[in-house]
Amino acid sequence: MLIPFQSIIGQEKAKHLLAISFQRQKMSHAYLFRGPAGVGKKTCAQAFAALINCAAPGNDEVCGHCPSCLKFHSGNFPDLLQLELQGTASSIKIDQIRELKKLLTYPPFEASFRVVLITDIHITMRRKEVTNSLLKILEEPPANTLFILTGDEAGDILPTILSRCQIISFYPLPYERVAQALMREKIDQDTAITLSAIAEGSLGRARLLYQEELLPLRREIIENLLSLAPDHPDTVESVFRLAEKAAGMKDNLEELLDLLTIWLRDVMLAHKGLSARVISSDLRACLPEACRKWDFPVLAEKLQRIDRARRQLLHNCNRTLVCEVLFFELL
Amino acid sequence: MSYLVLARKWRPQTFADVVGQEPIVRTLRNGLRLNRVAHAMIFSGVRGVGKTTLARIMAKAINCQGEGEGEDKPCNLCESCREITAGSAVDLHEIDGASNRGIQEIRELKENIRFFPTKSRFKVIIIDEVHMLTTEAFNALLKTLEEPPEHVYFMFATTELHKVPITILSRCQRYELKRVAAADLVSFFAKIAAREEVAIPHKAIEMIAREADGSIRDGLSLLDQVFSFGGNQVSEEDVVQVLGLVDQRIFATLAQALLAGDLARCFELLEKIYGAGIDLKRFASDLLAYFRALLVCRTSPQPETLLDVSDQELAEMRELGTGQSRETLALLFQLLFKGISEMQYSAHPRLVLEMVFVRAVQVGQVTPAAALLARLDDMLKSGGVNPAQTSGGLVLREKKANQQEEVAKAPAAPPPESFPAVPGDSEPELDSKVKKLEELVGKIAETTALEKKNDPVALHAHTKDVRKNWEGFVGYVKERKPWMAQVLRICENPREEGMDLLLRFDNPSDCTLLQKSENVKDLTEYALDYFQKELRVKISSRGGKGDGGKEGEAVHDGPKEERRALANDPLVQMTMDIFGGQVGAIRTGPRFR
Repeated sequence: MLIPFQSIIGQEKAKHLLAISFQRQKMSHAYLFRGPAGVGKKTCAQAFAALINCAAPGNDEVCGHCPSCLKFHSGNFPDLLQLELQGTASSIKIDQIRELKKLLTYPPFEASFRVVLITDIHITMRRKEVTNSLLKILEEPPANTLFILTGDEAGDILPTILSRCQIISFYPLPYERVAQALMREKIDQDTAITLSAIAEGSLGRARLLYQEELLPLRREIIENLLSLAPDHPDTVESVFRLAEKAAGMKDNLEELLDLLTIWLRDVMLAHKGLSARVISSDLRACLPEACRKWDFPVLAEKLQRIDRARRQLLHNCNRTLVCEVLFFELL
Repeated sequence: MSYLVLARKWRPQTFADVVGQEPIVRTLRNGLRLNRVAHAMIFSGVRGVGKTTLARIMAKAINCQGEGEGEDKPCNLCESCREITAGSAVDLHEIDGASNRGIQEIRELKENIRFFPTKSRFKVIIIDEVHMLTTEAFNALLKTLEEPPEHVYFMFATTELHKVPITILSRCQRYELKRVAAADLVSFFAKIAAREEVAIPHKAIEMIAREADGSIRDGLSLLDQVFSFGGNQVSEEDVVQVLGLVDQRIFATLAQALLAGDLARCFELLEKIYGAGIDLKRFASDLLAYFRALLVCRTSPQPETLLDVSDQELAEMRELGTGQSRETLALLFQLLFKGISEMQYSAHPRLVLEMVFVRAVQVGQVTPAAALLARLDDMLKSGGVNPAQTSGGLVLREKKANQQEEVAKAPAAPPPESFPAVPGDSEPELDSKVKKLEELVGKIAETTALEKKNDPVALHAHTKDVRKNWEGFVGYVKERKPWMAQVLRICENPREEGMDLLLRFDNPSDCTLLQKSENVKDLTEYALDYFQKELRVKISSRGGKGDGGKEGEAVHDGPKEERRALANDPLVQMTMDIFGGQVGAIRTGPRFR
């Protein structure tokens, strides 16, 4: 798929930096695109790879009909090497990098720049031997080879890697742009605005939240927790039911906890009379009741409970149990 | 040939080009001059200070065929030197230790070094990133490393010296490279800028040098970025934009808002920063640095020696700092510090930062210890505490705990002269306060003694009946440990027998957690606090055989429970099933056994 460079949403600064270095033909041999998940790092890398290989680029944009662009369009470009996870492995393997090195000893097939794209380098951090084996080739790659690494801000990246790359920072997108993009995917306006705020300007996360239907579940949990009285016998029943549902979210449980944190933050803000800054706009109706029910210190306490639950999950505690305990405490 | 980045283009090729590292360069050169070069060397240090570079220069110097003697080597003109620069020397083996880390590679290497060099005088083996070798590989190297053939030199380079076994280290000459001083970086960068024909103001270079944090390669990567961003004319603004630096004034405003507890303003500022596309993590750590500066301003008599800020900023910080107690600042700093380290690993950095602000604003409302002391002082003045008369155990206990906490803090705090002062406190007042505090300590000691003597009388006056006040007790526990209260509710018949508090549970699994010794201890404490009598907690469950740790031995079942147990006995149930009968009567007691 050929991605026009200028079609990337936002990231003006990153685009500007890349475009300028391309115009002046002063491209570094290694770039690290760093920023939050889901803001267009990988897309930008692919677009940049297409741009620098285009035969007749005009105005920082691919022409779209030269042989190289056509190959990019059909996904057949031979000199775009992308290291991908093999099978169920959690990160790329050292053998893949050894193979890559062998491959790089030959010149590119046809391109003016061979582009090596390694995504999510921060995940590789846990396997030190992989990142370390990249160091030498990253420092002095053969001519006409361009490394593009992408990495999340949230993770660690070896300082020795960082120092070998030109770091291009990617930023969260403006909420309106995310909302617009979502609306183009046939998501209604209210949801789109809420999603963009919750995802903190990450289009990828907003999509994930939408696909996994986390929002309805969050709504159910919050409304239930608000309406339940702690001493009522039915409470236990419904808490268990909710906890089971929440625990069933598998990998997205943490996202769900984040959503709950956001909700508590909103209630806190409402307490301080800052309702205008509320993120969960779809739950605005519940705010006054929540304010009445919980005062500020209680909310702070509840926040800590969520933190604790998050830690427990990190330590592989029983998910259902953690959820049950958490929901009881959130009552 | 594609564009070569500055870090590669400007890699030093002779000892004279090396930036910083004077002691090491001198040692190496003297070694060459006196012909005392070790056969194995290891270079260590942070990223981008010149480990690999020095190893390569050393390799050149060893094999240099130039005219120069000793110190003039390497000449960088002779054939050998040129080959090494181009990376085509046959007798220089530069091995990537991270990719070739196994024992097999080391074996091949050992095989290889037995042969004489093809062209030069010596074979030089450079193993870069040597810390990634496996233990076996390291050990396989030991013998060779100790007594290599005469025509072989080993050089290692690593960022993580601690991962290299000591047996390797003891066989090598160690060179630990320092971070390069900012001044060296600045002059080096200025030189490069001049040679690359880029006009760049001095201040911009300083900014880059500060950002590089002692690593030349980091700095050169940034410089590269700045050059390609700005072309031949680089301005300060370009650098600010590329590095994503933040206007310092915003920190002052934000700190002010935080200290004033103005959450709305904090959020407004954050929104602004976010909108400007500034890296939040970076921003947060800068904010932390600002609070550090505030704290330094508040504590140190001469903050200007410790802080790198302009006079005007310093005056601002002073003004901001004086309005606050040192504790408040320190506490805020701690909160920020914790929050910001959390931020590094969070997928929602903005949310975390907002929560930090919320917490920080809350803290602003907490009374500092000094004020508490003052209040305590006032209380003493008004003659509130007369320990001999207060027989109410609970009240006394709480107060005592409070006081003891204060007292415990006092010696740990700085000596009286620099006692954490509430603004406006003069020294004599403080002295008198400390004296009063000492008196207070004395009084407390007396009280404790008194209390011990009067123990039975004083305590029994306020005891509570277990059965009557059970609900209250559960509520009391709930405030402290919610789950425990839940468990206590299940307990069907709590009762008091002599000095024991008996808790009986229907289902053994209900009380397994409660039976843990630390929980039993907590519960005993709660019971003591609430009922005001020494109660031994005994926990029992039906079917629980002698469990309950050391405290709760199995308690004799009441007849009712025993009957139920018998009715539910699996044997009885099975009998009922098989014969299709029903239980007619259950009789317990010694006669029927």
